[in-house]
Amino acid sequence: MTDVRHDRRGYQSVFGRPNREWVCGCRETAGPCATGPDSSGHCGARHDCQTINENGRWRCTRPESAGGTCPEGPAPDGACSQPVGECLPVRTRRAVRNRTVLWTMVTMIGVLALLFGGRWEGGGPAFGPLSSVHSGIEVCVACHPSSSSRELSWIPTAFAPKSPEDHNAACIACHDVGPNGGRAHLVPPETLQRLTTNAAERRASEKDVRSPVIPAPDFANRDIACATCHSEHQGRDYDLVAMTDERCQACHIQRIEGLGASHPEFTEFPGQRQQSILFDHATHYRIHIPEKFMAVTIPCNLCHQTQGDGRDMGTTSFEKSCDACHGPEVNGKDATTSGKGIPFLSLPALDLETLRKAGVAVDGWPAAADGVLTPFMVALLSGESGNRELLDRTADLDLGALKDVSKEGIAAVDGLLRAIERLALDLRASGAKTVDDRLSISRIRKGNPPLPGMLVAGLTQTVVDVFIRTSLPHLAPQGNTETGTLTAETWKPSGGWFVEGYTLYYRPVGHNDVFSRAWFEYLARFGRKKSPEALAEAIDLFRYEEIPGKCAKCHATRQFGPGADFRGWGPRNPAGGELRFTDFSHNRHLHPVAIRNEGVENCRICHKLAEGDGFAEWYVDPEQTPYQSNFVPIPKERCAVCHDGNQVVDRCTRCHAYHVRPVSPAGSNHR
Amino acid sequence: MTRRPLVRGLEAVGVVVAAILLGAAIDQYGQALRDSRYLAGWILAGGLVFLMALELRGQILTVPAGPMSLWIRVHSFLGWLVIATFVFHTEWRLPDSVFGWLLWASFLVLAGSGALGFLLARWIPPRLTDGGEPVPFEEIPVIRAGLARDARACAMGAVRDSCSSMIAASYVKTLQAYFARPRNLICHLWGSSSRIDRLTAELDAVAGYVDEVGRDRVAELRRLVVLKDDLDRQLALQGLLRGWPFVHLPIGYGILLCSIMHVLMVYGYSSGAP
Repeated sequence: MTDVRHDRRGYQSVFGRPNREWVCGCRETAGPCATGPDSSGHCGARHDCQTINENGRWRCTRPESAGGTCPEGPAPDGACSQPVGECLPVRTRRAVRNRTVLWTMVTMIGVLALLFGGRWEGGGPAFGPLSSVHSGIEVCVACHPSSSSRELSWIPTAFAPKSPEDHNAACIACHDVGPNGGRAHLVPPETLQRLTTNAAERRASEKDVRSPVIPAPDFANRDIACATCHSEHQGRDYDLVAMTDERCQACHIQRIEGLGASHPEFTEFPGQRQQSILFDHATHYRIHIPEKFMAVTIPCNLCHQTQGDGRDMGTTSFEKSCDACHGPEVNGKDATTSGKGIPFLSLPALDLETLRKAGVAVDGWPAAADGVLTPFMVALLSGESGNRELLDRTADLDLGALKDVSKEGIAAVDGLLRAIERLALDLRASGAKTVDDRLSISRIRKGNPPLPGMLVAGLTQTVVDVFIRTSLPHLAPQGNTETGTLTAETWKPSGGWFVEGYTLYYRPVGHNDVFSRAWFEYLARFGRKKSPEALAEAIDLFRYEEIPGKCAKCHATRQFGPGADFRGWGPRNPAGGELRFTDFSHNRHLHPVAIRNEGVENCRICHKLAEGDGFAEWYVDPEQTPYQSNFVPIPKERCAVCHDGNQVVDRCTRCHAYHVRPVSPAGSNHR
Repeated sequence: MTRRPLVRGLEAVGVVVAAILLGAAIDQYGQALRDSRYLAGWILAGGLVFLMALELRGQILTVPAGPMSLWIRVHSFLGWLVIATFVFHTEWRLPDSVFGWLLWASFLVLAGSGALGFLLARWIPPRLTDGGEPVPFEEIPVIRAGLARDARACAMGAVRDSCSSMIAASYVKTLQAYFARPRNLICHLWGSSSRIDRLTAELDAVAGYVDEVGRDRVAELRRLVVLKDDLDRQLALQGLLRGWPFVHLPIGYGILLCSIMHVLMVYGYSSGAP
């Protein structure tokens, strides 16, 4: 074969010129000429050679490779005597390749112009279809407001800086995500900061902490775009809310291998927080629930039922669960006559002799009065100009023993008595308007205060008249001298106002009584600043005194302490805006199989009562005793029995909700 | 093990290891609550531009920039990585839009032609040197024309020298068409020699019916036929070797255009994922 190659050498042309655009078209027939085509692709050969004039004689210059000097030689005028035929030059391979590139790009530009030149609908030519839940959206600008669907007008937006708020605006236009829509977990920034700081402190002492190769953006301090997790244009069947454990752990860097492995223990779950309803489960479960109930039903069901979609375990109503035992406490049926009402206006015991000697006008004030200033009186008196000082100056005085009191003190008492008289007369004259004027309720702009009429709960002029004629007869209008006979038993046994002795009482009509509720809410929400002593006394009154109502016995008065807020009357309402990171469905876990497997009632499989009387001790002395739940935390092994990754998945999002508040479906945020 | 297979083995292992590391990095980026398609996309775009540098080096660069063999080796190494990045970028999913299909199909052609070229560059060159130095591709038509002229002259000379028309008749019947243009290209790709064997057998048969001078002419024709056959083999192999860039290069430039449009669209219609 070597010979074959050797033999071929004689056929190779001298001029290759592969980098030119054109080559001679004769190379496949007679062989390429020595001249070759010009740069425009025209044949450059006319003769075999370019003759040269040397000393007046024309000489042939045909090269040896083309046959050498021709025998005829140049003509007398110097023309070559060997004319050659004109050929059609052909492009070189390199030129053909370049033209192919050029035409491919022209074609591609044409295709792109066809694709993007017109108006778009749906995902347009460049993006995939939307998920089924968003498939009704037909125009791009619905979600990309900064990008118009007009021809190529979206190009400038590619260079415009956009913040997560800009991106989220279109989502929030349809979905109600609350006031913190741009924050991670929809949590307020300060809360997120606090949680992050707490987590960082805990993390410092934990060993299962990994350092991510690529850290997540600092979402604790900046907004997060919805599309970070909810990626659209992935097709009709794409799961928009799918979330891997790894993505959770981009921020939560404590390594969690599984629920049963390295997941933290449930030290505070559930029920380790102080509840708004102070209910001692241990006492009720062990002592008060009759045996007959235990035999026929799960005792927890007496008071608890799942709510809504079955996720949350709520409580039944007071009437259904509590009224049988606690109803008489509320409406005073089981109280003595004097304890059937809540003292509203009451005349304090006075040292009339000393006051009279000091020149104080106390004619008409009953010597037998033995009451105290009720919290309602304190609150109403405080609302009159100048009374605040009087109340402060008389706060430490025993009004029944004023012998050793200074003249200034006697003057203060005098002023207080006049204030009480004015209060009684104002109530008689104006009723609810007096309350409104003195408590400035109409001027309260935030906090949804109770209506003034609710704070006097149907108190009529007649009732106040009776109180004045009985207790302060010197203030009574002349003429009608008849004293009232409205008592607890004879006038309104089912609730309402009555006068007993020198006190105007209100008897609650039952649970959720309008008067009790209105005053309790007013004092809880607004009393801390305006009448702190009235608030404290009202709490004692509603809790400890032997009077009906007993609101504070069960409704969390401890939340009224310094720095705390009033959170309403009812038990925890999961749908009421509380931040929830856990998405546990009671209904899903109340499966009969669980009952059969354990052989005990369903709830107590997980909720086990704590040993000891920690809750009761805290209830009696909340200031000195730390809060202790009635229940021990659920051991995570209890959950991991099923959530082991095999029987039931143990992914983060199986139990944890990313959004701590419900995100409304599309359309609910339309105004 | 000789040096070349060892180097190629190391290159293959290097590509696999680099692809795994690249995939892990992109995955980590996605797990860090970022859109990994952006990272993979920019790596892909950077890779494509870098791969185009090979073309620029051939077209534009006039200053010394290292041996071409090194450039080609780096090009093929990065090419495999870019294919892996494309897979990561598309997340193993088929496109679901017209433009997506255009990009996807273009890349498929680009990657396919590149992979084909990679294989051809390893399969063909050893075969080109089977019989010595390979023929310059541009010289093949010239050589073929020379062979055709010689074959014709040889056949016509046989009529004059041996007073026999058998050789000329055989030339007109089969050899004239054989020398006129490239023949049996597909057979040469498959490595088949049946056609040339049949042709030489016919010439051998003619040699039995001519005199001594005629047999010399037949031998000369037989030599020219073998030369033409080797030339056709060179044309077939070199044509394939030099043909795939005619697909690879234009689609590479086209995909750059599409990529620019793709980037503009992605950022123009960004949804805010970091």
